[in-house]
Amino acid sequence: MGRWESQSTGPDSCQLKSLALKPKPRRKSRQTVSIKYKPCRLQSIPPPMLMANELPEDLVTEILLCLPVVSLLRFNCACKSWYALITHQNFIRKHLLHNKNNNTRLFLWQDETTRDIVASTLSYETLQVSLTQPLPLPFTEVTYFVGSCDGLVCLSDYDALNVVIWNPATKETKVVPNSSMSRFSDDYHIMSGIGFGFDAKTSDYKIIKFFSLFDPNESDNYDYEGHVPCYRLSEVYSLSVDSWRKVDSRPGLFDVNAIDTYINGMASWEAFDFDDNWEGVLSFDMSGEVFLKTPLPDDVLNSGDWRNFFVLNESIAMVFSSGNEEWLEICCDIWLLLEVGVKDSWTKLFTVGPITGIELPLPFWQIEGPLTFWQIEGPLTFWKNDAIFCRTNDRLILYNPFTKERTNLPIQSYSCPITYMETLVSVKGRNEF
Amino acid sequence: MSSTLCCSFAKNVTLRSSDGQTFEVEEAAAQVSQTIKRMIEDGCTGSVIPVPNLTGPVLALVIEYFKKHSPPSDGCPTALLEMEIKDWDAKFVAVDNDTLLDLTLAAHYLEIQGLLDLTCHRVADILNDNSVEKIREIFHIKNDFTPEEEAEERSKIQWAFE
Repeated sequence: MGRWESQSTGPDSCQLKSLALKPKPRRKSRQTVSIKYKPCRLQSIPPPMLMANELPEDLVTEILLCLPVVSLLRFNCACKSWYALITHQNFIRKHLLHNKNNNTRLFLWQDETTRDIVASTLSYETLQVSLTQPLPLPFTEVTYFVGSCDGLVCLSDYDALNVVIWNPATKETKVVPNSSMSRFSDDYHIMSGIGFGFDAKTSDYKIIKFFSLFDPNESDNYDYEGHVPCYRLSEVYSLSVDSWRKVDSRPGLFDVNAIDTYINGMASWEAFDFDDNWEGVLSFDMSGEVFLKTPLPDDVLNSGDWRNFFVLNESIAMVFSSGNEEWLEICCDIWLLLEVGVKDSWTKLFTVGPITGIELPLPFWQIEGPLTFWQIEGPLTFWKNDAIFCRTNDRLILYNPFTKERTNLPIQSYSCPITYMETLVSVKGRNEF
Repeated sequence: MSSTLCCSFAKNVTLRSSDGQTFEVEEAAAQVSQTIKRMIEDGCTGSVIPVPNLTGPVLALVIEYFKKHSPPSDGCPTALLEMEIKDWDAKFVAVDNDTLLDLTLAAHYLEIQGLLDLTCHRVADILNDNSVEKIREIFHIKNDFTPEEEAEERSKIQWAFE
C-alpha cells in the first residue's frame, strides 16, 4: 500500500482553462520547486508559468477524486489526458484511498416481481436502495457472497464450484477458472471453505479455498462429525496469474460459514473445528498464506446463542446475541478481536439491549419443520456504529438500540450484507499498486 | 478582557496582487493560507507580501474567505458558528465557472486546504451534473480523440452514458 506516492503521478498536465499560475509543489511530491522563499526573491525571479488553458495535474486529480465511478468512466472520453489520468494505476489507488471511509453495504436479494436475484447498495443518508443490478453471468440462481475487498466482490454458487470476481461499479466480471476441487465433486462428499482478499506484499487479489473429501459410502452428506476425510487440500487463486496452486497450510477439518470477514490482509470465518473440537474464528493470512486460529472467549461458549461477525474499527468484531425463550427479547454483546490468533485479545466493548418488539425470527433450533435460510439469522452487523441490521420474518430492518428507532428497509435480503465501496479497481489482474 | 486587549494589538499584513492592488488583512486571518503563514514565519511581515499569481478581484475574494475562516478570538467555534460558516461556504462558491476555477487555483497556490476541498467538491459537482460535451465547453477542454476512438471508448461503457 502507498507505493503510488513514490511513482509518477501519470500523464502530464490536463487541458483546462486556468490562470497562469505556477503549480504549487505539494508535500511528498516529486516536484522540487520550493515555495518557502523570501518575497524579494519572488519579485526578482518570476515563478515558472503554466501554458495557458492548463490546470496543474495534481489539481485535476484532486477534483476527479471527488467523483463517483460512473462519472469517471464517462469522463474518460473528455480528452486523452483525462483518459490517461483516470485509467492510471496511481489514480485508481488514490481514488480507492479517498473513498476508504465511504463504505456502504451490498445486499443480495430476490426481486419479488421478476424473481431475479439482484445486488443493491443502500444509502446511509436516505436509506434508499441504489445500484440495483443483476448478478454477472454465470450466476442466475441463488448466489452467495464469498467476500469483498477494495470494491471487488467475490461470488460463488452453493458448493463454491463456480466463482466470479465482480466490480459492481464498473460492471467488470472475471470468471475464475475451476480449482482442482471440481474434479472430485461427482465422487466425494466435500466440506469446503472459501475466502477472498488482497495480498499487499505482491499487490495481488487472491482466493483461498480449502476442502476435505469424504467417501460417500462412509458418510452422509453434510454430517461429517466423527468421520475421517480421505483427502484434504488448500489452494490459492491469484488474480494476476489467473490460476490456482496448492498451498502447504491446511486448517484441519472445519465447518465454516459462507462469507468471510475481510480486514487488513486477513480473511476470517466463523468456524467449528471437528479435529480439536473448538469454536471460534479461522483466519487466512493472504500474504503469508497460513491459517490462524482464534477460539472464542470462554464467556460466550454457549451453543444456544447466536453469533455474527463484522468489521469494526479495522478489526474483526462479533455480535453475540442471547434471547429469552420465545426470542422476543434479546441482548447483544459486542466483542472486538484485537489480534487474530490470540484468544486473550477478545475485548468486550459494550452490551446493547434488551431489545424488544422487533419480531426477530426464531433461532433455527426452535423452528419446527423444514429449515429455510430465511429464518436463521438474528442481528447481523452494525452500521456506522449506531444501528443494527436485523432480519425479521418478512423483511430487513435497521434498528437503533439507543433511540429504539426501527426503520423498515425496502428489501428482503437473503444474505448477510457485506461491506462495500465503489472503486475503479480492475478485475482483469492488472493492478500494480 | 485580555482577549479584547489582544485584539486591539492585532497585527496586519499587506498583500499585493499581480495587477498591483494592495489589501490589508489581519495577520491571523491571512495565516489560513499555509503559504502566507510560512512567509510570515520567515519574517516577511515588515514589507508587502506579493501574491503574483492572483489578480486583484480573486485576491479580494480570497481575503473574504480568510476573514470568515480566521480562528475565533475566544478559541472555540460553536456548533452554531460552524453551521453558519458552512452556509456561507456554500454561497461563497456559488459563482460562475471561471471565478470558481480561479478560486480553485488560488486555494491550490496559497495552500488553503479548506478552500481547496470546498472548490474541488464544487467543481466535481458541476462535472457530475453535466454531459461530456458540456464539460468540454465549460472547462475549455479540447477533444483530441478522433471520432472513431471516441466511439470505441464509449461503446465499451455504453451503460455509463444512459
